[in-house]
Amino acid sequence: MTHLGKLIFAGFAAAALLVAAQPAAEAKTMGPTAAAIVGGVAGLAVGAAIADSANQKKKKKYYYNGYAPPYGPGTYDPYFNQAFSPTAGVVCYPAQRLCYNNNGSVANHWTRNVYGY
Amino acid sequence: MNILTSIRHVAGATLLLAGLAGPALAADDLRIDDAWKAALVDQHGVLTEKQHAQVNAIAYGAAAALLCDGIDIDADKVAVAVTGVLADGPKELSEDEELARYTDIMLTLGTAKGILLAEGALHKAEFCANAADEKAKKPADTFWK
Repeated sequence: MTHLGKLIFAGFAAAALLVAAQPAAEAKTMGPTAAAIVGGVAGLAVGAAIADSANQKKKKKYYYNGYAPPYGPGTYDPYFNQAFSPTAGVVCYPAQRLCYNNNGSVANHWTRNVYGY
Repeated sequence: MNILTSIRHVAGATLLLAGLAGPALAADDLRIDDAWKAALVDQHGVLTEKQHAQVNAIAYGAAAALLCDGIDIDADKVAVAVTGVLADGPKELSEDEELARYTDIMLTLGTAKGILLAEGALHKAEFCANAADEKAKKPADTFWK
């Protein structure tokens, strides 16, 4: 990974922790370097990503080897609507990579079991 | 086969399909399907299936920690998992592509967290009871302390 890559990596990892794990008040303690990365370089990337995702006719994604979407052009809807039940009371959605219990709550243990992370 | 017989066969097949699909789909009417559908349409191809599930689990952990008493995020577990997902990407990317990939992953995490927060808030009692149960029975599967 390049130096810039490492910096960005660190910035995003820090941002991830702040976003996912810390109360908003603690986010104010982000250091000036991390803030500059997250607010500057990363800001451009976030803007581009949001613009691209809002323009679904513009296909821009990274279909790397082994990362290709498991559905063909124009077949997203039937793919999204797929569901299966790995055990009684649990429903998994392949497109979402998430399993739910019958009461609507996330089945975290079964998500881990089914998708193997 | 006459027309009446054909209609009966079609009706029977329809009922059979409804019977097979009904329990699974009706079981979860609290998922905000349209939000997930819109959020994910452009994201397939960025993460592997396993990585995507892991990002969802982190998002779920973060949402439950915000909504539920007694559920606290484990920042160390999150750090290890997020770093693992970010680092385990294709090797041939340019710097711009690498940055775009990181950005997409972080947006996916934030979007999933937001939708799960909404789903949890809509049925908070069940959501938090389930989170407490997961924490008690399978703590190693969670991103909580």
